[in-house]
Amino acid sequence: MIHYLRVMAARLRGLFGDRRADRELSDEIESHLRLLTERYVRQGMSEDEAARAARRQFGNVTLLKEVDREMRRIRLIDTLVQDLRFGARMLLKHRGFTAVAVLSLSLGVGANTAVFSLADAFLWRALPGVSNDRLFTLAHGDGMAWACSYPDYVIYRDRNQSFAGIALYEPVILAFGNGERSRVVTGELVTGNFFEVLGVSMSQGRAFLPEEDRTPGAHPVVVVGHDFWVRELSSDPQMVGKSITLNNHSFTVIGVAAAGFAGISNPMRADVWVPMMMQAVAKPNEAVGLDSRNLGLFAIGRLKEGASRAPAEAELETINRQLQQAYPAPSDEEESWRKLPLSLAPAQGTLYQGIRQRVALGIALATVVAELVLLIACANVANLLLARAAARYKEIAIRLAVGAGRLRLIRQLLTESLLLALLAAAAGSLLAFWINQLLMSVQPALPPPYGLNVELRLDGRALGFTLLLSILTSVIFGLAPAWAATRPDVVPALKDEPQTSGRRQWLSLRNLLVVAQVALSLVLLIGAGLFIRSLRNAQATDPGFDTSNGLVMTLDLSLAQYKKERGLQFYQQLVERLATTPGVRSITIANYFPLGFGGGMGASVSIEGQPPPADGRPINVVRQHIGLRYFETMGIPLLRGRDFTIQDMASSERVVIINETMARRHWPNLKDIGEVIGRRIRIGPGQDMPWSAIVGVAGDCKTIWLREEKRAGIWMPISQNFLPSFQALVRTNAEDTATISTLRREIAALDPNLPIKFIIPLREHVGIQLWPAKMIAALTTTLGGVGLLLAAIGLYGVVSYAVARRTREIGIRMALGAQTRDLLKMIIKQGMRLTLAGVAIGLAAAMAMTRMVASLLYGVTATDPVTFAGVVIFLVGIALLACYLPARRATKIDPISAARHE
Amino acid sequence: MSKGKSAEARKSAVLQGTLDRMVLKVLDALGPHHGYGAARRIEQVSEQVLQLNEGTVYTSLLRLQQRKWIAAEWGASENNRKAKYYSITKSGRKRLARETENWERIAGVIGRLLKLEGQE
Repeated sequence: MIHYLRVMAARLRGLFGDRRADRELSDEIESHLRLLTERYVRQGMSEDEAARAARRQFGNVTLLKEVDREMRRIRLIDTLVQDLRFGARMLLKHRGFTAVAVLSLSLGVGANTAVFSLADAFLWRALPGVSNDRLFTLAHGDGMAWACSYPDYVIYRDRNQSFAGIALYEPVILAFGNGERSRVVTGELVTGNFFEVLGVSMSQGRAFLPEEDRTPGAHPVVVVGHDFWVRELSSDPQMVGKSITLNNHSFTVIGVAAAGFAGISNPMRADVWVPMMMQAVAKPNEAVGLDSRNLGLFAIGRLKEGASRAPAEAELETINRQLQQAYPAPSDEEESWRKLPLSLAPAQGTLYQGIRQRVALGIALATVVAELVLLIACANVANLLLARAAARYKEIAIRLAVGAGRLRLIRQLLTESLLLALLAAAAGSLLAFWINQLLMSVQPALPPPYGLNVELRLDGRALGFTLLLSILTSVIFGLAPAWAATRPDVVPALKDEPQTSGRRQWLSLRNLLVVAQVALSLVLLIGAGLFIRSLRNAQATDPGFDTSNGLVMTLDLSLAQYKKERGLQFYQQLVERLATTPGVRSITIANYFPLGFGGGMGASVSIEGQPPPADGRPINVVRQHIGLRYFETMGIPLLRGRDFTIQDMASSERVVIINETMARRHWPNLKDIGEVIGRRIRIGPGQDMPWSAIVGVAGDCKTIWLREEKRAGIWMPISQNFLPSFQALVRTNAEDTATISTLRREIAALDPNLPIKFIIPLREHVGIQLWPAKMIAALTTTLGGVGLLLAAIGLYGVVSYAVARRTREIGIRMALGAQTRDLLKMIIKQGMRLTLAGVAIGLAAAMAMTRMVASLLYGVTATDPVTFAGVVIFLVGIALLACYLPARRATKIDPISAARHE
Repeated sequence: MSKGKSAEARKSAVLQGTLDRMVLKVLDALGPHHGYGAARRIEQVSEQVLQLNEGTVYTSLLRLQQRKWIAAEWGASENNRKAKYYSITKSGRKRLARETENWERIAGVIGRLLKLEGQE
């Protein structure tokens, strides 16, 4: 091995200028000159004259050295071309081998490339349409996005020296248009310098002027995106100066952004940009104004030329501390949060830390899986190469015997591997492209602007990565076989002696490779098994309500500037109208329904007659504001007491319904939970909040997350706690597009200016949270299957090879009366020994590795014995088949010709 | 000896090829030589070729080595200094035999070489 490395080093030296050869040539020239000089001295010249004459006679030394160096280099390239041509011929000649090898490799390479483009889309890709030089988002030290209030931002902006500009931004959902065409769009609320900081130009008109972002509410202007302009504004060339309606307000279009820019809320696309000063119109739900220190907005900035990241971070931190001293935090929690140091993160991929972190975990998992598959594929190809080299051993032995350098042979074999790798790179890229298309198509089918617009691209970087990976793997899988095949013990090969058998052979490289393949496949399949069970468990989780036949509508009345009075009226009208619509069985509304995208509301409560909890922490419950007939429509059992009535909705007497968990947890000594009816709780943190009477106890159901543990929850009448953003559950006979259009028509009839955020079937709504689990299960299962297939092929190959080598022995045994069964047993035993070794190693590895994904599992432990056992049995079964097939072939051997075989 | 650059260049290309052949001839007929020794032998045989600088012998030697027509080995020179000796290989001899047929027609320098072989 050391020798080989030395030889490798010499080759590289030759490529980049061989110093030793240079030195040798110098020595030769020197002695030549010396001899010439001596000659001239003998002829009668003086030392100096002789030296000069010798130089003249010899010629230009430097030129000579240069020419020689060039010649050495060219020769190397010549032989490389020779190797490539020869390698290509060999690959074409053995088409079957080439096909299997390229297929195996491309599966491994393609999987990795797909993961790379996934990572690229979320983590590394430069923001489109933006000049990315020195652009950073401001974050907290632990990677959480930095939420800065507007007054703080002004101080950071004005006091710092490192930034050419800092802008604030916040994604918003806006209602666009009015009448029939009202719909929802995604926009970004930005400070006036936003486009300047990002370096985005306008294709028409201009960006914001400084005075347009100075006074709250004074300048309702908007910049629209290029796509939006084409899609919604019919590419009107006179758009600048005209107005559009956003949230029922008229905004003047002052510019159209350059094509290709879609905001920085990647992976969502923004269509419009509105000055921060228009916040009151753009976000009517926002409780606090711009001047509050409690408002959190995101910041992005560009460093000045020549400024570097670390000093800029330090400067921000200094200003941060100054602010903390000037404005002490209102609470301990706020205090600790503010103490986190500020940092600058390069603005690439998605800027949403929440998405970033979750995706990073998924990508890490996917990478591990893809690497495992690649390793299995490499092992397969290495095995194939070894088998082929073994078949060519006579040819190799002869070439070695007549003096072909071992190095030269290895180089030629490696060139063949390189060609394989290049073919695999091409095929792998195609596969990666196909995988990307597949992944993009399984994104949850949500309408814009909620649909994720993840673009998985195979750009130059991904392709470069593919190429590099292929070349790297060609070295990995090509090296060992090339080195093993050119071992200089050629004499036995030349003499046609059978290869040695025995224990040493059993430990051969090929067998080790197969053992490794089996182990890796086992790990992959166990992972897949665990994730599949997790998914099944998640899918089987009873959410506590009826999930069949329904549509969930999401609306936001604030987009149409509704206030409480009108809002409550709208709720009533909506329910009345839809209840009588044909096809609708029942309808109810709530400020949000369980599951879906997740997120909910909580409240702290105190219970009448009970002392506050000993540890000082308030009782936290989940709360929902609901309309009439909620429990009936949802299919949640009402265990005790009653539902809300119209009287409850109309009156100001505060009532509440609690769930079973809350009843049992906080009134543990009651004989029957019905006894809580009539008791009172106070909802809210203050001492002077009104008491609410409990009128009913409902069954437990999931409130926010599919995987949550049972928790205490309360329901309040929506009339007593109005919120403009709400959802309606409509139980229908069908969930088709006709029904959806009907619903849209009814809403438009009530208020044509109110856009519907989206309508999706209840099953999809509930299924949204299952999407990541589905992805992981699909990914691990597919790749695990691929890995198993490759390992089975590898096992089949090894057993076939063993059979071929022992043909003579088998023939003799048969002639001596061995039964088919005995032969089968003998051959299969050999293969199964390898399999079981692989299984043992794989089990150990799996036990260690699955611990790392325990947090992703639901309802199964990381070392779930059922999964482990099941996978082992499955794999052993496949392995048996892979061993049986060639074994069966062995029994069909004609003993006489076999006995003569060598 | 013609004047004019292109003629010079052409002549030197032809003579380079000739030099390769001459080096092979020397090594074949007269055994292993080091670079200086080979240059001296060639000088003995032809004066015209000496219009080329002696350093070009090394270029020839390298070319012939790359083609595996000669092989190099380190040894001790006449005055016991370390020197690189070149000797012709079997494929080199085969090549020479083929080339010699082509050159038999040309008189002058090559003719004298052939006569040299006949003498030894």
